[in-house]
Amino acid sequence: MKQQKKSLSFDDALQDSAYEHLWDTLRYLETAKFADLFPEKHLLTLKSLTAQKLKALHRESPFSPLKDVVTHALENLPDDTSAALVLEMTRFTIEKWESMTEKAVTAA
Amino acid sequence: MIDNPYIFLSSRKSTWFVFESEGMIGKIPKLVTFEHYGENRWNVGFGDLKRGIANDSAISNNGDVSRVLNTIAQIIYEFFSEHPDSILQIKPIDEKRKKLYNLIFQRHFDSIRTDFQIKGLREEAFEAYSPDEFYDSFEISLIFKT
Repeated sequence: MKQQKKSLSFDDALQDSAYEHLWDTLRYLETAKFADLFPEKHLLTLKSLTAQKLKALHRESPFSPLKDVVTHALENLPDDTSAALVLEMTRFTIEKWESMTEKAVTAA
Repeated sequence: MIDNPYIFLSSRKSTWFVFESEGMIGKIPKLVTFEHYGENRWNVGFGDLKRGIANDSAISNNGDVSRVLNTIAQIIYEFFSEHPDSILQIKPIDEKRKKLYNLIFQRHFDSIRTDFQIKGLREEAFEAYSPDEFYDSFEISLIFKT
């Protein structure tokens, strides 16, 4: 990697009055979560990763019980995932699994 | 060498970065942030910052898109210098950005692949990136050179 560093650290920025207008934002960002900053992208990424896991599981074990499928799909969700997001991901998992099963049955 | 990026502010753990776009509209603070998704997987988000709120669907039209993209590229290098074993997922949030990201990877494929292994997601499976294909999202990881 030959890129030159062109950055200022968080701590240096908080000492530099040229960035005073950003100080409150910088302090907020140091504690903010990605899911709060970019909720739509957070959900899209969770769905994408879950879809990849489900596709792999369906290839290996297409007759897995639904409760095992849901457990497998949700086991890597972050510990602080909200109840609403757990519900959303459960619904997504079931719909995705049923869709893959239907396609497999149709293809057979 | 990435041409003329903005100076950016980096967090203590190099997981978020802020810079200011300067153009026709004025100064617009921008946020680039990285989320850890377990093992060595990360996701990147990018958007305008307005009163501390991030907006990743804003189209600011500040007349400096090339410099903004160069700065994001520089930030990605900075992120990888702190997290060299990472696999970074770059996922567009809408069709417009999907087209833009595909275009960027197509145009800059030769320079990106000198430092990064690139994969593209199609039909929920990642494959080695080809500039002739259109992808839903991308994954990049550093190529370790001896």
